[in-house]
Amino acid sequence: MSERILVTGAGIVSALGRGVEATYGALLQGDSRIGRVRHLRTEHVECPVGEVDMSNEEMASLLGVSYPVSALRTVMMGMMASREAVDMAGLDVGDLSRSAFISGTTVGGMDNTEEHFRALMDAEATDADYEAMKYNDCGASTDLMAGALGHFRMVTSTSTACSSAANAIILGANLIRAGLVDMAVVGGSEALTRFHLNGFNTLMILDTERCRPFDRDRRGINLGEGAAYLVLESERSALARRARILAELCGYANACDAFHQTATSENGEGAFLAMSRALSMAGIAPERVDYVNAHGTGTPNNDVCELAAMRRIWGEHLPPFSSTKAFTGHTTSASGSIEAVICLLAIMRGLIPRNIGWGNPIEEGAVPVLDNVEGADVRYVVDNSFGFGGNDSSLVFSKYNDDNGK
Amino acid sequence: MANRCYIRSVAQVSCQQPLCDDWLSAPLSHDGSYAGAVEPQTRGVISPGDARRMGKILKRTVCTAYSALTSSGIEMPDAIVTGTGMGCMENSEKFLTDLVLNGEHCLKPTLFMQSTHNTISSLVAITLKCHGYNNTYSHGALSFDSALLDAWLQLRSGGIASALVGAHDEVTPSLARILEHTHPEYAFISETSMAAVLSAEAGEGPAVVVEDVRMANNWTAEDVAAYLGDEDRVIIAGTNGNALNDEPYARVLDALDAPRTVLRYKHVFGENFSAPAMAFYVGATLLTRQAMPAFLVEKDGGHGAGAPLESVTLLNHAGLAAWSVVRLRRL
Amino acid sequence: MEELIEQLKAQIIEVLNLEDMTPADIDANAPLFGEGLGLDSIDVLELIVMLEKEYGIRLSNPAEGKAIFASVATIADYVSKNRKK
Repeated sequence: MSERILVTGAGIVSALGRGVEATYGALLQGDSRIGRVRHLRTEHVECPVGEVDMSNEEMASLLGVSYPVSALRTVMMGMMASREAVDMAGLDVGDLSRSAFISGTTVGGMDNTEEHFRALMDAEATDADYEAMKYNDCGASTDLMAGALGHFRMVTSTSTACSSAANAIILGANLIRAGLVDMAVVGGSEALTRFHLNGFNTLMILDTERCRPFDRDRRGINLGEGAAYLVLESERSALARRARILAELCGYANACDAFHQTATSENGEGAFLAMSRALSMAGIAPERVDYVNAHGTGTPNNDVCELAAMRRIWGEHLPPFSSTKAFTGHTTSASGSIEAVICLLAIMRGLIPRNIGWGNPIEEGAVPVLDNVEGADVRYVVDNSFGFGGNDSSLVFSKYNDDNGK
Repeated sequence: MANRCYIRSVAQVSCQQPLCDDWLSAPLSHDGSYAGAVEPQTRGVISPGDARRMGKILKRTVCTAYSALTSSGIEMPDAIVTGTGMGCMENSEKFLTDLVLNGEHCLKPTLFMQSTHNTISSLVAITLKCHGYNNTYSHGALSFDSALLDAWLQLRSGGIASALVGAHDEVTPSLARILEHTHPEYAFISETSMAAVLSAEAGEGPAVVVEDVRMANNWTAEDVAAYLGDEDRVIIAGTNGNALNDEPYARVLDALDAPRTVLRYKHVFGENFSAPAMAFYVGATLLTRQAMPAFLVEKDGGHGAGAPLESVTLLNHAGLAAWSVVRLRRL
Repeated sequence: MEELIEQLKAQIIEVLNLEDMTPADIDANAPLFGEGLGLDSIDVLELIVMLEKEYGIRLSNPAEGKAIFASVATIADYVSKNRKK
């Protein structure tokens, strides 16, 4: 029997607020936090977004950081969420030295690059412009976040677009199972940037109204931003230090749709493989799943293909499912861990969050959770994250049973 | 008992002749601080219809992957794991240039679609129709080691039986200018693409295995030296002749008691975030060919000329206290 | 119209990076998608950008593009009726 992987800490910041408790409160209240852009400087004010409602200055002041970190929104959000996760798990300096820090991001410090790019292209750039570029690649962002917490045994970054955080979680679990580390702080962080907003805009998949995942008339994505991290820990380590156990990560899988860089195959092959392999690793029949937090971006293509993949697994009787992207916006590289925290809340607090914005089914019977369900007995949850390039990953979280009673 | 991890093939595109080992006998030398890659022939590998959307890094990726897969005899790997420090830099730069200079309108979708880091790994999957595990690491000079570690762990545990592992970085002239400022420890900047096929089963040629992959974020020179055992007699180091870069390596070598033979590769293949993949390529090639050309030898630690080369240890310093150690061995 | 068709062919070749093609290779009435040139949904997006940049025509829904981009001749017809520059 290989080592079981437990979750002993979680931290989050998104449009829903800062911290797990604020997130729970916002989900319970049940309203979308997507709105008109306030903090990102962009011409595309017609596109609603899910921003973390703090300016860079407010974040820097809260964290007590100065330049260069104060110019790096991805890093600052990552610091908030990872600090919360480490504190919740009660990790000390010694614990970090037997832990990995793995973070998923795609834009990294792109917001900072955008500020200096014009000068850099002119070859008349100042030392300050060049200095700024030291911190903008994905790895540099992760190193700054990890360094703010302490000395980890190992640090790295995944970058698989919208499944980056899910893949960070998968690597962390594999490192623990291999015995290289006892714990791993894993997740992702992604700031809204002009690069990303305009990029998605060129693909004409941004909705100018609030997004409507799984609705017949859905038109596309609202981008969001945020960060979330989990502390994964071997069962042995968690029991030895009497850690509070939030849940178990009992299954995970990464598969590739291998179809197109920005579109999903009609039968959702990659999504199907990711979900079915993760369930098989968890060792449970699909019927035992109590909730699926779908990728559900709200694009015409994603939602219909994700449904097709779910039908291949569950047939006519889909488990309760919802996309929480109409709450937070699509937080891209961070979505895998942000939605993992929402899944933990389903398990720990019995809250199955609703799918905002839904009016009509895509196909008969494909109705997501329309009203929050409170007090549910949630044992098994599937968390889907699908990225461009067909990088599809699924995670299965479960209520922890120390008798291994599956 | 963990499975073995055999290196079935390696392939490279760099500032040396592409997709071959000509550099062993006749290395191209480059003046100046920056050299672009020598582009491979794409005819027969990439159709014109597919090629029209691919930037240079994507063409190099497909060519190295195709070459490595062909010579490995493995058509469909179980996993594709890729490292890249900057992703599709050329397209990102073009998109940003349009965005910053022309504003937020009339931007080109293809540039965005082919701009992210994972475009590289997923393009190979799409080309092969490979539905297996697919992941991308972007962590500076540890991008390749992260990808290698991931694939190595899965091979050892039996989760997969084969993997295509690689690292790719393209360096535009403006990125080269930026890197000269942000990385004063560099000596010679270049572009590199490397693909390797790993398998739990040995192939037909000489058997070379990846014996250990270790990444550390908090190692002192003494920690590195302590991790290196007596068996690590031949070390391929990331030294480049620039004191800023070489000093941490010197401290490690000083801390070792027995003499070691130290090889270098960055003067031949240049440097970027994916350069450590070239050390892997060089190590695998030397073990397979049983060669040790003099131009690679930085310090002769008494490895006798003509003596069999049993193992090679790759030592990569990735800034501050971050290191990786990779052990390759001929069986 | 002939002039516009030739101009469009050259622009399509440039925008879609059809390196080994010349305007003479493109039949103005042949389908651009599926058979014929074999273009796809990403090419539609590129052509939408081209229409805005070169002719000041803005399409907000890629689905509208289907009929317009059927062939070079249909594009020319649409451009001549809707161009703003």
